[in-house]
Amino acid sequence: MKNKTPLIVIGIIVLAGIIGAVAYGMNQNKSDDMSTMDMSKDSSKSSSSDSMTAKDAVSTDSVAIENFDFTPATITVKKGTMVTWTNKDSVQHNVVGDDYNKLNGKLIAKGESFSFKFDEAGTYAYHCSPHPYMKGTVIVTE
Amino acid sequence: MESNSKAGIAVAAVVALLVGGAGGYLISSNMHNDDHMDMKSTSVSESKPNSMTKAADLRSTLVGFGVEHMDLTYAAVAATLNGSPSAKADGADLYKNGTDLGAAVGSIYGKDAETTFNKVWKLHLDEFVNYAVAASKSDEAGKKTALDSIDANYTKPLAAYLAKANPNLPEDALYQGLKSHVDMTAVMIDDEAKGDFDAATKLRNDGADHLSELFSTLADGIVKQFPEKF
Repeated sequence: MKNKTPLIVIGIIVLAGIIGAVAYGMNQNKSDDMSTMDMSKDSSKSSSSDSMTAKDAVSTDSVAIENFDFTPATITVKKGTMVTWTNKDSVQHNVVGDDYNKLNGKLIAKGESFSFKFDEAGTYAYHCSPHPYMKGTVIVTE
Repeated sequence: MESNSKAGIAVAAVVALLVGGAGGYLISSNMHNDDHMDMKSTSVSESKPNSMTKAADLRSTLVGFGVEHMDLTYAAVAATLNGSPSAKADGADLYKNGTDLGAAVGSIYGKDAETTFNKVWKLHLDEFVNYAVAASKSDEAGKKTALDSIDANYTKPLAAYLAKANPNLPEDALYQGLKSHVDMTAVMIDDEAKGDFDAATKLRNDGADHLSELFSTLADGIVKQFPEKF
């Protein structure tokens, strides 16, 4: 009787190879959904606030919006402080919390300001909604 | 002896499973890594499938035009504001970049599309000339007039046109992307008018990055729309 072991082994190798390729493919997470694409600038190349830490925070209640930056990018204030953003650019910007819905300023033109009082301690990241690569952070202490 | 034979087959089967599975996984991994070629490189290995080359070429071409657009805008504005003898030539280069982009659009969507695109694109360049003149005179009303015209006659119509041409490109996302470009260019010109060239350079670079992202997305949308061409 003919030894069928080699055929069995070859068959298993081929099947396993297919399974391995499928497993690799399933591991890849490649989205091609254009319906939710973001055509704005990649946040990975956004303002310096991304690399700011608490130790870089500036103690102030005023932020300038200038040249598509929030300056200082990270500030620290005490609970109950009113923070004011002033737009110095010729185009409109706003201040919108990343995960904090109460921080939702309307668009302001050059020379206009937006103020918000932070009543609770915490770290509040925000951005400009028409230019989401513009980012800043407010650290509120007790 | 029979049990030894069965044991041998079992061992061979396990080894085959491991070898085959690892081999299939590794082969797929290598094929996937070949996809992540340098998007700005046109020297693609001849061993790569033609579709990947064409898609990468399209992306590279559009991104190149986008980066060039910001560089040329910066240079043309600076030359104009300084009264430099190169201002006319720099302006011509900027307008040529626009028609090159139009030709790229036309190569996909036809001559009518190229004509429409060129008309709209030129309009925004013309209005930015007006904007730069107003900025040099600190004429805020003049700047606003130019920006309003750009929004009404370039940003909105171009977003609508591209969205209609390609269902993979949502109009609102296109509008926000184009508007961001307009906004950054406006503030870059403001910086140049003030003589703050560090700030202007920062926005030129940010603007180039932004257009790279925007045009990459456009390229991806085109490839998705016409898979048979790529």
